[in-house]
Amino acid sequence: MITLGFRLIVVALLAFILLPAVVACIAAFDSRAIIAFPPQGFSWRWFHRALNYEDFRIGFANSLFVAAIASTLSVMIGSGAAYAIDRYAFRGKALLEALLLAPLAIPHFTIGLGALIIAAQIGQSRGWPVVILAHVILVLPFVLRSLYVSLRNIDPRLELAALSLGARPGRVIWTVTLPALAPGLAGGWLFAAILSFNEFTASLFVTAQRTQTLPVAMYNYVREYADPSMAAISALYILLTTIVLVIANRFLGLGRILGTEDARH
Amino acid sequence: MPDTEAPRSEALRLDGVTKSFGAVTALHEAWLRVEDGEFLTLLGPSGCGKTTLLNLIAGFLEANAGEIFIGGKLVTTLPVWERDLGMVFQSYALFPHMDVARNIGYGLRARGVSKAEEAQRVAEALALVRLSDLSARRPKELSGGQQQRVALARALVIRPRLLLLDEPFSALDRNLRAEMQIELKEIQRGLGVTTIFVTHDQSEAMSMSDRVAVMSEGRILQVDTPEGIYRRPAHPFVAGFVGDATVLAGHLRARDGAVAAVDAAGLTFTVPAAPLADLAPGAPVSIYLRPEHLSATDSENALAGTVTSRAYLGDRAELVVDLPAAGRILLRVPGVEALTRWPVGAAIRIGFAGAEPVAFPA
Repeated sequence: MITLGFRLIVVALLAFILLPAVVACIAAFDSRAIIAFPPQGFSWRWFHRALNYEDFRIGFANSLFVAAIASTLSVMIGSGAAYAIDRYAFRGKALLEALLLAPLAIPHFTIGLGALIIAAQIGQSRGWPVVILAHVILVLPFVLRSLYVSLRNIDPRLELAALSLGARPGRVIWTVTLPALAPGLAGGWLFAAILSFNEFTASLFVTAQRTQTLPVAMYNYVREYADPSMAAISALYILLTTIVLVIANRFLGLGRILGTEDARH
Repeated sequence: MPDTEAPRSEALRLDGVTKSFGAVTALHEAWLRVEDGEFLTLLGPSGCGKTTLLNLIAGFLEANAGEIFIGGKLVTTLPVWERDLGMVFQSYALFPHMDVARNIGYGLRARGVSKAEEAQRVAEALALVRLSDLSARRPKELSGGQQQRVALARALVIRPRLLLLDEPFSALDRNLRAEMQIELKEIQRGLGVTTIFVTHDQSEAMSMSDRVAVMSEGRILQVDTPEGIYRRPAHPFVAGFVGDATVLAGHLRARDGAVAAVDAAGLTFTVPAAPLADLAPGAPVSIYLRPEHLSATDSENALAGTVTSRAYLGDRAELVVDLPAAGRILLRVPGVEALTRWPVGAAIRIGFAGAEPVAFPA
């Protein structure tokens, strides 16, 4: 029995969580050139401005590029590491696990700063490799966890059955392990891509004018202007992420991948 | 094995196969020979080493010592995928992302069989397990019994040299299990495929097997026909594990060739002498009696006692009788007789006339 009081608490909690996003989205439609609430007069002009502003367009393309490469790399590294941690016993396994999860404990700006220092040392200042490296380090722990959970949910006897049926180990991985892992791989990739796409703190350190990602471009914009195109970008961000998640949930079942549902049947 | 047939060729041989996990010896020098077409069951409680032995035959584990031959060929170090085996797992292990036909055809594709031949052989295998209508289903859309049949078809379609089954029916309910046992036995006999079956269920082992290997604590204690295991157990563990038994404490009186006389509870029993070969007269022995060999009787040559519990099972009833001279024994009587004559507390006399007991050193 769900009581009225319980319903009110849930509504209040939802309102509390969503309030900043809702306020920002509404402010995006203000016709005036300042960010204020409540808006006075309705206008699409800040969306036009956001979509046509050169730095945002470049930043958006850069963010997509970095997110795609960083999440692909981290899924490749993460799946290998997760497979090794799940299936094999070896010396230093606990250390490897701790290392791969370590970025959770290290502030983003530290990773950004460290990557910047290393890059400067090897004469690679603020190029794409540094940006991508920093993003891979940042998203790897999340990818690893997601893939590890997916691997744990695969019955190892599936692989034994395939081997006993005459398939060589390479064929088994290709025809049994990877297909069974596909939702986990896709989910881990998507998770990484969204995290990378939203990442700001470390990116601020490692990006240059040429390589700046969308959040960095937004930060630079807000230092100079105070119009609602920032709010418009925020609304677009939320819209885009929601569409991606809805589509992904339709095909992958995100609750299963992110561990909010029990995946074992 | 019927004696009239020509000696059959050897399908599987284990020569002193040993497997340890760290300090624990899971399998201690297993020696075993299985004939072509035979249905052999590895029977024992959990932890007895039967699954370890099956995994060694399959190649999932590597032996520390000893050799394994399949069809006369040494396979001890041969990888799993070159052993030509069909394996059915307790959890079925069907590939969740493939439909039934793709699951069954997996081993054929791994062998590079042509598409046309794959389709034909999968259709035959589906017909064999009576699932032709369900070839396009995914495993999760099937019942437990249907999944079991798919797993069996997938293992058989490659025409394996050995069919290995690891407790395949333990997840099924009782009625379905009985049905699947009969079906598996018919299919196995029809194809003549040599089968190694692992179970902890002694009635399953007795009803399906040509021979049973009883295992305990990493050792094969006895390999014999179901009748031999039941009537001529070679080890006290076998006598206690297979079927019900009442154990009486007694003494060896004398040995004469193949038989020996033992005294217990004031009576004398004739038992096989072999298990008692090392004993001197007067040595303590344990005598194993089957409940169906005991009877309620009015004769004088019987032991008096009291019924202490009664379990009515319809056609028959099981009575526990407390005999002051011998301790508690288990007795089977017809169900009607139990209801009319043997309530708890009734006085009863137990005769041992039809008994074929075995005895082991105490």
